[in-house]
Amino acid sequence: MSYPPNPSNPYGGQPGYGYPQQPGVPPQGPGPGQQPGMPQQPGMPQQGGYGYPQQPGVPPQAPGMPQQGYGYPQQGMPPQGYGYPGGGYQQPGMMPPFASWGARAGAYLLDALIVGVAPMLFFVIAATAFVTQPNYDAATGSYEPGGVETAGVVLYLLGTLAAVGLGLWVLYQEGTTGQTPGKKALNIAVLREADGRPLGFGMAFVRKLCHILDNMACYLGWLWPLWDAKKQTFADKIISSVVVRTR
Amino acid sequence: MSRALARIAVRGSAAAVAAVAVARLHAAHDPGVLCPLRWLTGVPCPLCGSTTVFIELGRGDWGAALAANPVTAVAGLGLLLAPLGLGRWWWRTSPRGRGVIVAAALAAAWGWQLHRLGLPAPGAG
Repeated sequence: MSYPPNPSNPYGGQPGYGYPQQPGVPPQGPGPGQQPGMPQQPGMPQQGGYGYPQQPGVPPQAPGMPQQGYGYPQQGMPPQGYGYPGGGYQQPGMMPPFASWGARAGAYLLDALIVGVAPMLFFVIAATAFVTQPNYDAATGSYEPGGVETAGVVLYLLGTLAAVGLGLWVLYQEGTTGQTPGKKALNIAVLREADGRPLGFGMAFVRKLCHILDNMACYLGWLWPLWDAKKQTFADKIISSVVVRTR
Repeated sequence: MSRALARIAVRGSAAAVAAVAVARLHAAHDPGVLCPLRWLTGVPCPLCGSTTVFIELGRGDWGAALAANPVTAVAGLGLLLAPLGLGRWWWRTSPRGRGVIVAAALAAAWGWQLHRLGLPAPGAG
């Protein structure tokens, strides 16, 4: 699966990742100080030092120069985005740029809204319409115990069911396509670092469990992508997953 | 440049809305200590006071916000102003350099929190 050409794509016009190389073009690795698989933004200084093996002897590109090296001049191929999600790296080591912390946090909040709003509505309706508070009248000494009507119990159960169901559905989306609805909206995806394919439902579930570790060290794990070379949380490191930009 | 300023404006307004919302929420219901380390052992961690920074900002008390965790306040300012070129500088810095800066910041923050909140008295709790 790949994205159609997008006119607003800042990388539009650049070759996508991993197109078939033309015969006779020698493979060219990323230049020193260049992030593998990441097209340079025109005029931007190169990002450096991601710890990938670099091929010696390739001169660095001058900022503002036309893109080279990540895609060779193509013939008859439309420009595309990164070709994610789901496709895997079309060439080994061709990794798209890592997603920013802000995009990840935004996607998380969007998903929380998607999973949280419907159950919350059920709970609020149940609590306001079908729950009676206990009432004690000190003057007469009469006491009326509170209670929940059957409709309230049903609504609570429906709310819980909705929360679990929506949560599992979002997780299934993440595991099978790499993208939750929030990640889709912000054009990021969580993928296996080794081959760029989605994690699968099981590993996506385990990754969620591993977020407990991100909480345990004073929530430091959630902030780790702000300085990590591969912008990973602790959970990402354990699962060997990366979150990348899809366009 | 105008694009960077627009991004700063978006970040600033999002943070302001979040800060005011968190301050209101906190006024209605104070959940107590959020830090697992401090909650379990009484010892503050380097990130202690970080939510307080936001709550005090949302209440408009800038001094109290800075005092709660100056390192968080500076880091927040850095995130806000990152589009001006700070972000590019940060990711150009070598991973080791970034590690050193983060470790130094955490050490400074921990020192401040231990000074501000102190260690639990022996035998207390």
